[in-house]
Amino acid sequence: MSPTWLGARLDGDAVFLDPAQARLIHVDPEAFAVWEQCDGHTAAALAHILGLSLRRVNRALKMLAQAGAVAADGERWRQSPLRWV
Amino acid sequence: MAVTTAGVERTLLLPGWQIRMRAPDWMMEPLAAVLGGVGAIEPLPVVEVNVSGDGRQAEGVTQGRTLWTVPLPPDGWLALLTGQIAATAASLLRRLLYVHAGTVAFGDRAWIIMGASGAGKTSVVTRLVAGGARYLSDDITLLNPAAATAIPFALPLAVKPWTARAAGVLPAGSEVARDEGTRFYLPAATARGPVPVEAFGVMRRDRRASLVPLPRAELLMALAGQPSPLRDPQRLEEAFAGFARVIRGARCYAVSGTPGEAAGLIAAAAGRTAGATTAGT
Repeated sequence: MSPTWLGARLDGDAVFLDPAQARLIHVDPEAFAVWEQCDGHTAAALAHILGLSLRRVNRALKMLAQAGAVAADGERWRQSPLRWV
Repeated sequence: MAVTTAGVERTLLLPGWQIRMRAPDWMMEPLAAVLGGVGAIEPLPVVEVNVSGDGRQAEGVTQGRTLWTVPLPPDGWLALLTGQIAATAASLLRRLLYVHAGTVAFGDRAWIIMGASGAGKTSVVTRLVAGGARYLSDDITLLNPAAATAIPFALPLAVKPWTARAAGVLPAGSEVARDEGTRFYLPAATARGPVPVEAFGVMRRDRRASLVPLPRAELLMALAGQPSPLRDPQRLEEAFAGFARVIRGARCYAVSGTPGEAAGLIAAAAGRTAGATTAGT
């Protein structure tokens, strides 16, 4: 993710703006909770921390990774900085 | 391609905005009548509108740059050309935001009615104004993100025959122009200044009458699918932040049903909101 991404918290959801691609990404509350914890944890650790099944965590990570909101460093997941508006 | 004109030239001086029109004489009066109702918006560069001598082609130019060239149909040219000019003004804004929506005010609270073309926005707005709301805009809504207000942009309602049927009785006001079947109708009850945004209603194509809360994030995503500064790379980040700011302070609903049903639900919700606010103060 480029550091120039913007994010807006709207109730429990978040919307990310990727200016380079001129696109908005809707992140539902569960995916947002996963995204918030992506500071080097593995998927299994995220599942434990959040009390979610590994399947649901992987589904959220897949969506976030396809959007470019998180990146894998080996088995560990990291978010890049994002500026909230 | 430059449009070759053979008409009269006239400059429309609107608050904060000049349109230099060169067009056949017979087009001038209806153009001026429709565009003349636009209220104060932020200062904009001069827009030149050149129409060919046969009235079949038009171009919009600003600061020496041709922004658009459009063919004009013999019937329906007025709605097309005034819509093009209004959209040009919106695209030139640098402080205000715009959305493809109509807006009415209940007291000092603005309701913004969004929806795809043909979703019934004009019919719903017409019904709401006929029912006592004040008119701010039909097709283009201007927002001041710093103040979270809607700014009047009161072009006349373009009432097509099916809109008139769906709307029922037109509100008090006057017909300022007519182009074949379309009546350009300016309601008498218009808002004179900015109105705080109370709610967004997104028209959905569903025959069942309903008004249900819509997550704010879904509204922001819906905005991205409509013409707005979110499609302008120069304004993208500022527009994102501005829309998020306005949406955070507003209620958001999905609305469906016939125009009459949708207008009734919106008016009732606006009444409930006003009542709740009054009771809470």
